[in-house]
Amino acid sequence: MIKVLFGTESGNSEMAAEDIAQYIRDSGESAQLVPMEDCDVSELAGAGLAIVITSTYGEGELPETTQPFYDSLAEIRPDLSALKFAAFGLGDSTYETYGNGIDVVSALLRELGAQQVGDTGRHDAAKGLALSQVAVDWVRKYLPELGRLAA
Amino acid sequence: MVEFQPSIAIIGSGPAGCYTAQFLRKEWPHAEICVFEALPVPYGLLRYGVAADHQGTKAVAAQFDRLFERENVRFAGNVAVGKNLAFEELASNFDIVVLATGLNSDRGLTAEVDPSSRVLGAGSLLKALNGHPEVDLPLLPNGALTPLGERLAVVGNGNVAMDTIRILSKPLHNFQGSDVDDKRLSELRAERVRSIDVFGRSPISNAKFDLSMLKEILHLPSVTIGVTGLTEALEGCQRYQLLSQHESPASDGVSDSRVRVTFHFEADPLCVSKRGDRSLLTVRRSTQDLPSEFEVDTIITATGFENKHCEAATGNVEDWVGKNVFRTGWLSRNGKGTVAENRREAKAVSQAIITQFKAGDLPVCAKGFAAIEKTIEPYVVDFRGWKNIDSHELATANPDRCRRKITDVPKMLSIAAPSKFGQQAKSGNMIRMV
Repeated sequence: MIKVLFGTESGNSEMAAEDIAQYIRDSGESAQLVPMEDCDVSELAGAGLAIVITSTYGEGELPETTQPFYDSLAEIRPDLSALKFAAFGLGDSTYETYGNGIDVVSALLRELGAQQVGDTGRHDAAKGLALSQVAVDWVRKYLPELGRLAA
Repeated sequence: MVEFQPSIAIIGSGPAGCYTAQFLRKEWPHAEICVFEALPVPYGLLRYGVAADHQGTKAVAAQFDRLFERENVRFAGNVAVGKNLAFEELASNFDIVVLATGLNSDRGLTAEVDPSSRVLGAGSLLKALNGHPEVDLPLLPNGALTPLGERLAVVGNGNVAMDTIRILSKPLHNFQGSDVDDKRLSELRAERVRSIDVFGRSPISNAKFDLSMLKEILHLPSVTIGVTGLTEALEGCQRYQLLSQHESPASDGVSDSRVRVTFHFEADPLCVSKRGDRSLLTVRRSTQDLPSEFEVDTIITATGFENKHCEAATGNVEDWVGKNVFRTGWLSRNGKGTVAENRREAKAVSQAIITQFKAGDLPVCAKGFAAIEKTIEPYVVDFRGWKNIDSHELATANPDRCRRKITDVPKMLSIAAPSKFGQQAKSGNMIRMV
């Protein structure tokens, strides 16, 4: 089971999360969509394997549903050494803090002991490529490895 | 047993309407949901309000495409409720009606304005540069847009003001990847813009623009920046830090081809009069005892939006009320809020609708779309029709542009559904309102 966690402001991360979860299911693995605002961080280590998706808001702040997730992680500081995660970020290079949100969240997850799998995937809204396509292409690249870890 | 699901009409296909459709669809996977739109093309302010060089923000439309393509939400374009379909007929045939019609006009100035002076709304300007079929700007006898002139004033300190400043001072080659209406942009800027003076009532710490919007302007190589009326802001106010380096009006170098953009804070417009060919904006500034005068070619107001009654076209939205009628987006927020903020509100309104419906507070069992289908049949453009327009606009884009918008409704119609509307296109003229 792969948990697909997303934090969103405009709904774009949610759409990317839905597409990634769908691709995982179509590939024969199981996936569960979890909005970050509904995620109990003390149970996160037990997830084993997660895909973490967030956008960036304003001048590099976290979106409204990512912020409380981040704050609880920072406050509770659970031991995440049993967690492996892959990260995908959304941003807009029109603004200089492009893609910052996912880097902020990934850094904290790693600090708490989680191990990142693969390179951080990124979608730049200013580039004009379809988010869906970029998200699915990214997860396709790492799915064999994630599948092995999930097994 | 299958739970009864209501029939839902949403009026307006901008972000507020589409987000509402999205949240209601999540709750009711089988409900009939129809989004009505006065134009043949969807997405309202995403298409015509979000600046043409902010394609990343416009890309939210991919979420809405999905509603119509995969999630069985119906698009009924080219149907102006109140004109092609009476509101009463609509409201009596759907269990739930959501008004998401937005606001149609710039609010303008509260100061006294000589009617012969040249004052335009920023919303009208951005709409025109976004290729809207209705152009609410002055025209030359040859039909081209009247140039704005060399010296401009922008009144307002929000993101719409920032969009206006950026778009009017950015070199053409920096519009790469946008879908700006090049013809209209060139017409408006036919006399090279040399200066833009920006007037905001609040001190810098309360100015409404987002920092990222200011940074975009500061990074333009084509502008030189000046500031007046800066009062010391709290430690850590980034806009203050960014702008305090530029204190003094932007320098008036003769050989400098850059646009001089000067931000005036705590500057309140008192009146607009006429001096020769130019307009005179009189401003009270916190730093000076006497009012200052600014002589400019055009004054652009970016002071918010309102609904001007348009009785002849659609009737009065204010009168559209009923137990099953809800409001969302700019219509209910007085023209405030970003796309994301309007999503939050759409979520709250959807929750309220769901709660009332489940409590049995709403009348149910209206016939839905089938009951009004005949009435709108002569006009309606469906989602496939829009996709035809979309493909055409993408395929005919100029080099360095992502899309070329069709700016007249008859042409949109003839491309949407040639067999249905072909005749209209031949006789139709571009709609222009001044």
